[in-house]
Amino acid sequence: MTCLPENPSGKKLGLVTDLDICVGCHACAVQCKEWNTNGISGPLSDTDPYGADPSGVWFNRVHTYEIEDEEDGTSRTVHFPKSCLHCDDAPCVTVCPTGASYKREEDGIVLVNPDTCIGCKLCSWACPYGAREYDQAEGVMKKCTMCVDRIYNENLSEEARIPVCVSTCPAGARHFGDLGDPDSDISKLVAERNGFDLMPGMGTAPVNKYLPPRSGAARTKALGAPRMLSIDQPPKKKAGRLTSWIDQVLSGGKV
Amino acid sequence: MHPAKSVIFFTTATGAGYGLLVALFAYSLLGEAPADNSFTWGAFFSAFFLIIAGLLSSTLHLGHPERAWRALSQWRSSWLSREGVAALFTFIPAGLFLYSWLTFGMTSIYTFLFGALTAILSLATVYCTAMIYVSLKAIPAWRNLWTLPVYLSFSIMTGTVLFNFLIELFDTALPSLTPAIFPYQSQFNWIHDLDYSLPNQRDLAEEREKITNEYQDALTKHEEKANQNHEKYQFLNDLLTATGDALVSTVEEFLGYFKFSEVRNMDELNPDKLEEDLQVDYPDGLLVIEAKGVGGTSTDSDCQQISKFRFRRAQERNSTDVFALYIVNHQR
Repeated sequence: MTCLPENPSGKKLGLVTDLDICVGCHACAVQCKEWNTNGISGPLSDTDPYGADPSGVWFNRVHTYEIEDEEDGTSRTVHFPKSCLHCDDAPCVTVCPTGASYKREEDGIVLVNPDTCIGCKLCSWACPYGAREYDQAEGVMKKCTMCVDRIYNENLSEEARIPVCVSTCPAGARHFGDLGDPDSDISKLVAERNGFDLMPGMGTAPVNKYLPPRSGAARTKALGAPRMLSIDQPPKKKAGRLTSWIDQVLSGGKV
Repeated sequence: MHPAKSVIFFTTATGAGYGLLVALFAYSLLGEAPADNSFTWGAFFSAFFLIIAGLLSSTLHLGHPERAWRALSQWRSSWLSREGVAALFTFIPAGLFLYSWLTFGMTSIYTFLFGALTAILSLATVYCTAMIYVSLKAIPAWRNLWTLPVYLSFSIMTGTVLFNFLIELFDTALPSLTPAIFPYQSQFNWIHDLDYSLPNQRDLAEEREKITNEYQDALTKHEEKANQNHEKYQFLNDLLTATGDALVSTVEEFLGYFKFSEVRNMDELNPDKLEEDLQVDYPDGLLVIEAKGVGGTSTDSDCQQISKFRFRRAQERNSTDVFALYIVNHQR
């Protein structure tokens, strides 16, 4: 059935992506493709991979934006990794004419059955996030599976049973957990950092959350890094008088 | 927004087809029947052709056209699925609409009912097609108040244009090009009305009617006579083809036809005693007859059988005036 589950269990497995610390290295996207092209959704085909117009199936795509810091007006780069948000009110599921697209009752993961998908691509039109990926070679729609073949995989060690994009992130910008449970670590993180929904106006009630980039002082404090000084601000005079005099002489300042 | 070309063709073709069915229903309400069925056939064929071609074309953009039937299953949630179901359901009343138009006429109550159902389901199908797009919240270009009215009006508009084209084609253009194929179709049919009949024409027509009737009556009577005659002399044919009891009674009838008055069918008089089939009394004595339908030549025992009966009868009568006749029908 492509109706949404009538009795969801309340469990909502999802990802939280910290836009503040994502460095845009694309490790998640690459590792995602690596895992899934060998997994239940594989192969994730590419068309014209080495040609002039390469394209292919990627469950994770990282977009990069230049933004202006609201607080201090400085410019910064925000990397935005995008994958399926496993929405509570998933439009891609209800538009599916065949029942191939479905949302799991037990954990809220949205999946596509490749054996019944007719490849009409209507779900890709319905998804406001562009998270659906059509496989030209197989003629069926594919998408992020929340690494369903990892997180319940008893052949893997306990700590490996998380989506591969989370385990591979070198910056620790990705988190995985039950967002349906308000007491879970991931839900607390979202509450603490004011995690937000993408395009809430679409009414899709996404499960995945994003943590906003922190601005100015809050960011440096949180990261424990020295704050960047403005060019005309004199250094703090914590050094001794002699060393500070030398410092001023060497940096061309007035004595 | 780059929908597949097959989907654009599907939308245009089925829209026109369903619009044409709606136009045909509206036309049937006017009750002005065309002179022959060529327009009806042509219009329904066009509508069905457009719809079927469109539906087939719509499967071409699928990654797996062979699984298209699965798209009928999710009518509870999916407008695409509802469209497929509505499209297929429309064929039922549309077929009956055509059938009752041809059988009961365009103004009959059945034509009206099936026509109305066809029009409603046709519009419902176009409605579902439009709702596929209207329901996509993510695409503001489609999710607005224009989409639905535009789909419905384009469907009705193209259907009506097509309707006008077809009625011109079958009512005027084709009949004037090839009048032989459209004998009943003419713009000048009114000239054949009685109001415009020539002098004597009506009397001559009545006379013709009378002659036709007389001829028909005479013919019927003659046929009856021929049948009776055939029945009367049927046994002469039966004599050549019958076998068993039928052959015996045919021979009996044949002897009667030859004016033998004392013919006895022994099988009927004495069913338990299986000896000769017939006995005939005549002035010189008694004739015993055995009649058989045998393929090929009779065996000796077949032939001897009747002489055995002849001796028995002679013994009974204590006289030698018993004669035996063995009739074989081997033409069968």
